[in-house]
Amino acid sequence: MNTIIAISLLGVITLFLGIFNLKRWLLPVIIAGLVIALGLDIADWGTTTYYFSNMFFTDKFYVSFAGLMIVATIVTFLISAQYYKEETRSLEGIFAIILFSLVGGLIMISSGNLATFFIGLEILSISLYLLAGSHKNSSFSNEAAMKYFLMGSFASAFLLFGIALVYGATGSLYNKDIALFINTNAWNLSSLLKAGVFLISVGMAFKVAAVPFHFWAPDVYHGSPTLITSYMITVVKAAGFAAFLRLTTTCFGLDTDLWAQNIAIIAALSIIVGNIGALSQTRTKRMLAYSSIAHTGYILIVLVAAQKSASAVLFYYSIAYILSNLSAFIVVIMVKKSTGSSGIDSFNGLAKVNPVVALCAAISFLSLAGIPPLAGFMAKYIVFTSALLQGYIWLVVIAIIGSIISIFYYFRPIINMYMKKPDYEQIDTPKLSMVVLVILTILTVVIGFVPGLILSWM
Amino acid sequence: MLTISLILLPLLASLILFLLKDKKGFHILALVASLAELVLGIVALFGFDKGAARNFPFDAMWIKSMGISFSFGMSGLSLLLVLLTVFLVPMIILTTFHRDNKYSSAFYGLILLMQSALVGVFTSSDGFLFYIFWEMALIPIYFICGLWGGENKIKITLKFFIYTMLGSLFMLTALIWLYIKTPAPHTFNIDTMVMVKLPLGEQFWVFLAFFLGFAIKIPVFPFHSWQPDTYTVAPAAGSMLLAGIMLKMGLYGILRFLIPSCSFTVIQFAPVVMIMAITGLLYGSVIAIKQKEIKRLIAYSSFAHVGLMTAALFALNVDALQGTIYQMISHGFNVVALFFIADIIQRRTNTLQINELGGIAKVAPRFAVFFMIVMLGSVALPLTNGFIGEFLMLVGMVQYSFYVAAIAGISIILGAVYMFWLYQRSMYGETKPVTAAFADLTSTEMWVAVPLIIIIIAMGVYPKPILEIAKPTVESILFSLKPLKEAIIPVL
Repeated sequence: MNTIIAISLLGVITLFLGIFNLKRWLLPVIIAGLVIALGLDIADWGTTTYYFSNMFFTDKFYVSFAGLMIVATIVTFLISAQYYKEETRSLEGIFAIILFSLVGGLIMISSGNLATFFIGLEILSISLYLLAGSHKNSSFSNEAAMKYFLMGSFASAFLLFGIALVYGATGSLYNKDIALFINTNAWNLSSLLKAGVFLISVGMAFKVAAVPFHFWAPDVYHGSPTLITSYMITVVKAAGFAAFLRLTTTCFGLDTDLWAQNIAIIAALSIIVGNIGALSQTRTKRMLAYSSIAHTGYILIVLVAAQKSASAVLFYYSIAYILSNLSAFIVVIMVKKSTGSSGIDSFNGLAKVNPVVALCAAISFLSLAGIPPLAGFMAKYIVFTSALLQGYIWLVVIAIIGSIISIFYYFRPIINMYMKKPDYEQIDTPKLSMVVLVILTILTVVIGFVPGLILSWM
Repeated sequence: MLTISLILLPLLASLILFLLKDKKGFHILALVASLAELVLGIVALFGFDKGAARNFPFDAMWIKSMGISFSFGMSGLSLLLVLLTVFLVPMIILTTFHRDNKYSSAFYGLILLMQSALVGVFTSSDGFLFYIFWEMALIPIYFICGLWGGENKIKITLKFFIYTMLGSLFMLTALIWLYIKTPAPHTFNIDTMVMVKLPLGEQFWVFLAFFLGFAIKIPVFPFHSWQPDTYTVAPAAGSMLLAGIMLKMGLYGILRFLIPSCSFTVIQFAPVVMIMAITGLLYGSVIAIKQKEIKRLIAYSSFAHVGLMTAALFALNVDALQGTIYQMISHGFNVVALFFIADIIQRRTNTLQINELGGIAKVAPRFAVFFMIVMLGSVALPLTNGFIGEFLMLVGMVQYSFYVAAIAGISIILGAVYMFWLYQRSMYGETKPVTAAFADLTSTEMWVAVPLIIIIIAMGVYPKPILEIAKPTVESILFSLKPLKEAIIPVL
């Protein structure tokens, strides 16, 4: 809870820094503030505390995911130094909104009540609508914001409708009471409740961009400013999944028949559509957008199949996914700044121009493709194992076919980097971004080798 | 410790080579590292105890909660394949020592990285580790072919990568399936995994998944469409690694996983696999006869040879398995020698088209002798290494079915047809413009050719040591099959 308050305050301070025109202090203050928030978060480790008459609670799961999201946000801010280098307008607005959206995500994960859950979700979503449109002069950015807003509010309405139906059926908004109701009445659940749970699942599937509710994702991810895209694909997705898992474990009760089958089908569709959609993309951002839809599918398998170890598996998968995506986006930003193009062709010959950046990019793409022994492989392996343990063989077969398809498009930038000639002499690699990139890459390898580090943690 | 050093030595050497960035003498460093590895391999040979089930064991926990450990050990079969690897890699590195060598230090780094992975595959006692090394071997060869390959390399190598990756992911599923069927707490220990008694219905699917993984790697007809293109487009050293060592991973996998874990289904479906493999043998031989390019011809001949080996594996008796293992080793040396010959011809004449060649024997007698001996080994003339393997395999297949053996025997004759015809057209006759100034083997090339000749003849004359090393492995594989063989009726 302290973390949420601290980050909210930090957002306000950021706005004040803007008012007093202390532009130089913006990033240092934000990063210092986030580090403090991270410290506050870790201080909660090992305890389960309830706040505001059980409206919120913090436990190991919350602390881990909050930590992960804060760290990923810190990385985003570190990259922003390069991304906004030539920006003349003041940035405190954008930065404050990023912080507020982080607050929304944290509220979502820590809520023990569907009302607070919805508030968190809306804080997150509304901030993101603004962020998607933060390149005011770009028509793509405006389109992204509009699309995201329309589709997102639709999804919110579904979710809210679902919450209302569940409230109608169970008489409570508290996760605990709803779970208790479902468990005790497992044999004769009303269709009202079933419809409610279904609508909540649909709303969440919208928010995490799962097929068939994904149509907004490629355009929004492509149109938004690249830094924001990277933030949405990493931090926001992790928040969405953590919250989704929270719902399925603490609110939907033990009766998995109620929701598991639907989510399994959504997972399979996401894997197929995401991977096939990514095949024909010629722009890196769009490709990564479709790839993130495919990864949504793999992660949804965790919700369905991982049972007791679900939180550990989800945490591991999120870390692997965030590490690779962040480093991929750092390289995308570097290449874009130097060549002005965001096509996959702009990676041509990167290995000759800057071998270190190329190696880091290659490792992050290989990890996303699930090549051993990198983190992405370990994550997929654990997901496959838990699905097989639960008897979801068909899901694993689809996931494998999806992984094979994914090699086609993940290898495209790698082939361009290593086997084609560069059409530029050097790329702009600021020290800060380089250090972050190298650290992320090393972590990708290390976590792949020693998954026990994280799995034994939760 | 020995197995670990066998894996770590080339790995470290490859890392150094990656960091060197083309300083002078890097290829010497690569050669020295591979020779040091050869010494380690010979130490392993002399320290090997035939009676022990698992030589040079090394066990350390890796991921305890998932039952995964760093455990290595060598059976007789592992030792033979490790020896094949450590003998071949220095030779492969030596074949690149010529004047127009364009390879950078990264190339040698990739070769040594691959060697490390290959040794890892052959010595892992843990299924998960086996998979990691299995995939680790794929990455370097992908880059070797993709960076230094010939025309159209990007498309062909990507196809190769995806094709084999598809197989290995299904293999991974089979491994996970066996893992979750081991008694709790589950373990990836291979010996425990293959002891799992699967119900028939499950066994069929596990069989299918494993078979797909291994059959693509070998490749068995009809999963071979990646192979001729990849062998042709790869640089000489890449083709040697692929055909000489990498395809043995598939055969090793069949012996290590498929036959012990799915013994029931293996006996049931042995005729089906045999038909596929023999079709490949016939098909590969016929197509090889029609080839106009040397490297493609070698690729199809290799495809035919592995067809025979796969068929013999599924005859499931001592002679056939012994023969296959023997042939795995000798095929490794022969095919490397053949690709070496193709490489020499290509470098000196700038062509691999057979009809542009001719009369080389007149101007390059030493080369002609070398080619002759390699060719005799590869068509299985008595007193060469190819003969022992093919003879044992045929003996084993006759015990299984006379007709299968007869068809296989006939198609071996086709092997003689394409090899002799190739030799005749390229080496005899009048010299053509491109072959008139064909230089004989240089002293560096002799360093590769002479050991190869010695091995080809020595293995043909005195096969006993290798057969004895392989025997305990073969017997332990067949031991559990014995009671099943009478009880199960094959599907065909």
